[in-house]
Amino acid sequence: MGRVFLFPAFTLKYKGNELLFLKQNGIDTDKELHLLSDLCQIDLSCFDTERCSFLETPLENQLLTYFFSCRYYDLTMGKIPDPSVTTGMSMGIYAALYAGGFFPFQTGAHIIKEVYNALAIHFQKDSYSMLSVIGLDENEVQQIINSKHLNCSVAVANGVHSYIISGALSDLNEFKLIALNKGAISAKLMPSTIPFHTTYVKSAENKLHALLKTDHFSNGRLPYFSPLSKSFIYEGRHAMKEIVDNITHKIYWHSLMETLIKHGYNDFVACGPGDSLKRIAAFIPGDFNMIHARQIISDCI
Amino acid sequence: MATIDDTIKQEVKDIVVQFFSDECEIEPSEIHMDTHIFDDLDGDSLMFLELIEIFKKKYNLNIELKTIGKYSVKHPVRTIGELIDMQLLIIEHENDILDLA
Repeated sequence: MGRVFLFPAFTLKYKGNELLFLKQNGIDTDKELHLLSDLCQIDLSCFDTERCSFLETPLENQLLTYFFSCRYYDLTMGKIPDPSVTTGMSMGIYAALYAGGFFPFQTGAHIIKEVYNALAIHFQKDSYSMLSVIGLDENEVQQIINSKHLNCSVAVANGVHSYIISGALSDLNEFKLIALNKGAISAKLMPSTIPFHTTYVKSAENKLHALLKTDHFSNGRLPYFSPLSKSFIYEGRHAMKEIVDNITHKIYWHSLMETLIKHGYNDFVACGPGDSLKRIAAFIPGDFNMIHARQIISDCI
Repeated sequence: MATIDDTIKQEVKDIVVQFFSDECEIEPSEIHMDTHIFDDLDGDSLMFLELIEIFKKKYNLNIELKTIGKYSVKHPVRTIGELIDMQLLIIEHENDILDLA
């Protein structure tokens, strides 16, 4: 039975006890958040899950999600056998590559910041965003986009009734109204100004390739399973290319999990703040277990 | 379509309360009919979708998600009590629930 560690992209909501949990397990979160703040030149030191959670600021959200994901992973090490493979949902790729040993923590944080800032500058004159829609299937989503010739496209398929759409903000707002009228259970804009996982980002591809340097990457200690090619990545240079491809290509998350399950990986560990990956997994068919890294850490104390 | 009796009412209530108790890591005794799903329990649409799937399987319901979506626009659910009432209507009327609106 293969064990897969899954890493989330952003945090939509914290459980509320993430900081305390790390502190109770010997992580000096105050010191670490100061170090991360210094490294990225962004003040994350005031973070707490209630008053200062940075849920609406994408770069800060991404860095904090990376921080928690990496530290949860560190705490599981030695408590259970190493995972067979790691993979990341969207921007969860960075924590997954850290866990796989492709780069150290600081390098991952640096790459997150550089890539995000390059994209933010590239799209600063445009008005793009992302939207989460729940309750429609992909045909219904596509039909809305096609019928109105909307400047947006499916970016992430979380499940057969759960999608992220990226595109022009005005078109996403139009999509939202039609989707709710057609019976979507929910359609909400997300705090992003970058149309991740679509061909819109292709215009920034060369800038992103220029940012990443091969000497930032080592070959992996554990393989990374690509949500795009559904194959294993072992080499640093391939991991580097995957970071750019991951940003410019659509992700079928449920299909990734189904592929892993078919290949005998049926023990999944969600490793990050909140529980979005666990919740998405509830809609994926197949015989598998899904637990949170917190559970492994707590059970081993 | 099922006729709603006291057994089904209790069953639906127990499932809903247990679901939120597990998901939100709180005691079932802390969940009441007027507990606000979003403000008090930090609930979300995926939880709602998961519950619908649970009831679809348990009662072998013939209902499309978008039917529930359209119904919810006119009858938004905010509290545990409202959610239980909506689930009972779904079990009783399935796809015809929109005729009630």
